[in-house]
Amino acid sequence: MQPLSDEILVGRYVQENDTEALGILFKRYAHLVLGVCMKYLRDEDAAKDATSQIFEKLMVDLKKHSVNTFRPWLYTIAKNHCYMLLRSGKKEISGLEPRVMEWAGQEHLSKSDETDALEKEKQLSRMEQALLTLEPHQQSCIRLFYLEEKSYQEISDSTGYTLLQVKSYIQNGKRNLKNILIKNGEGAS
Amino acid sequence: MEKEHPEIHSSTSCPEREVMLEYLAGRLPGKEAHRLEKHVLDCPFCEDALEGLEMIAEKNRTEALEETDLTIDAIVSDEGEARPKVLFPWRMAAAIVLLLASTATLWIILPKQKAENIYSEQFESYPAPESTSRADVSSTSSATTTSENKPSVPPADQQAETAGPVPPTMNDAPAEELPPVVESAEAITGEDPAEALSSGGMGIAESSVACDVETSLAEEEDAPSKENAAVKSAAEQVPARAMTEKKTAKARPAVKEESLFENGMMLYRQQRYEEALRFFRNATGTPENIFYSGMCLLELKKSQSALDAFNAYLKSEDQRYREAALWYLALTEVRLRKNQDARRHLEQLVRMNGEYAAKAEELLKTL
Repeated sequence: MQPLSDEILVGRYVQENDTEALGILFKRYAHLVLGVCMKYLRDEDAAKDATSQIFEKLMVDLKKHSVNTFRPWLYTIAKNHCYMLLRSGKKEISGLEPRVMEWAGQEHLSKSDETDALEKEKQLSRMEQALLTLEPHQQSCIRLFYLEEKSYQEISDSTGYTLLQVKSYIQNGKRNLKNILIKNGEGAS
Repeated sequence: MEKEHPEIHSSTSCPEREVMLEYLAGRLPGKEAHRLEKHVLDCPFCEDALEGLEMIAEKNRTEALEETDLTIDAIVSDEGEARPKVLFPWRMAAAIVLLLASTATLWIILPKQKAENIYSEQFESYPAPESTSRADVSSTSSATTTSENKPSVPPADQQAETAGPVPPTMNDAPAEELPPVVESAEAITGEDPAEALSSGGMGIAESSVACDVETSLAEEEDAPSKENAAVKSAAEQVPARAMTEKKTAKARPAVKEESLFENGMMLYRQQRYEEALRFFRNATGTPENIFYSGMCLLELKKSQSALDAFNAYLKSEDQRYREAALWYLALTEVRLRKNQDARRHLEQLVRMNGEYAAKAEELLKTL
């Protein structure tokens, strides 16, 4: 059974007013939306409420805007809704705002990564060189992750680093690698 | 349309719910865990989501997600009921089967059942104001005809009568009589400030409203001409009197709001909620119209729209139905599993220490 693509479901909703189609589509991502809401709102009930509000917002917004790719759009809608709640909101905004900002920054990095996802495969081979210039713990984690395809848990088990360390070594190592590769690329051309 | 960013779809699709939950629980095998992690590194959506889901205690995660699913279902079915669809029950059944199959744990649907049970245990129809006529009518009319005013019987009865005759009545009935009503309905909808209501009113297109008003008026008018008994029983009700008055004293300037409300009220007493709703909606958004729209919507199981109506009512200064509105709002919120809101409103009722305080206190305990 081949599930219908996001865009087909969006089409059904927009053109035929098929709310069920939108429900099916939304439930495909409900765990992500709930997670995002939870991350920003930090309250289970508030996150659940926000998730259904976001669904209701989709019902309106999809009719107003033409949406090419549903997933990134949904992510933006979900985040904006949370920001809006926080801004209008009652809760410890001051405590949350810096976190939000910090994450906004990180997300920029990963987003630009996403656009050259295909390029990345080629870069991996060139990466071997660049890898050598990384700090040892980053290097070993990156190697285990990208080249040996181990999970964070497996890497943690085999290196003795904590899960959090593994995660941050990989994230930072990846960022450093990217910078090195860009720099090398510029040097070459 | 979908050609613009093929790479986003082809290279990585986000991990499905079960996979993510398994991962968070530390139960995903190495290879799959790696695949997920690799995706997440490139997907800010998943990255945020994972971080957020991690904050929910493991034992609550599945339940929280099922809850949001059911809320979505409730919203979808509210919408669906606005535009009836034959397929729905089947899809619903399929969804339940899938849900059971995918989780294989019954307790997961308990929150929904619990919410639904609480709702149906607690829900009682709200009486129409000064409905003293109800008892009288049923006693008098049962003597004359079967059309007593107890709802379940007469609507079917009357509808059966009117289903056929509608076109003739519309033709026969003096055309001069209908325009004022329609006019007023239009004029009123034009200025209708009840935005909150219109958001839920998708099912009833404005243009069709005028026509519906005509037909339901025709139905009402049909009754007196058809049967004296019906007149007799109906005449004891204020709205019906308004109707007959209108009939005799032809183009009375306009059948204004009061009469719209009264007509709505009459239909409401007969549990003809769909029709009643049209009248309440066409009247200006006075508090009582909004409140009874909410009641109709609840009876019609359009919870989301009912929620909007009660919220709109509570924004008004009106005090008459305040407690009732809070109570029904809270019940609706329970049904939609907005427990946080429900609790807040129930606590408010307890503090008000009125008619609903005891019930609210009881319900609070079960949430």
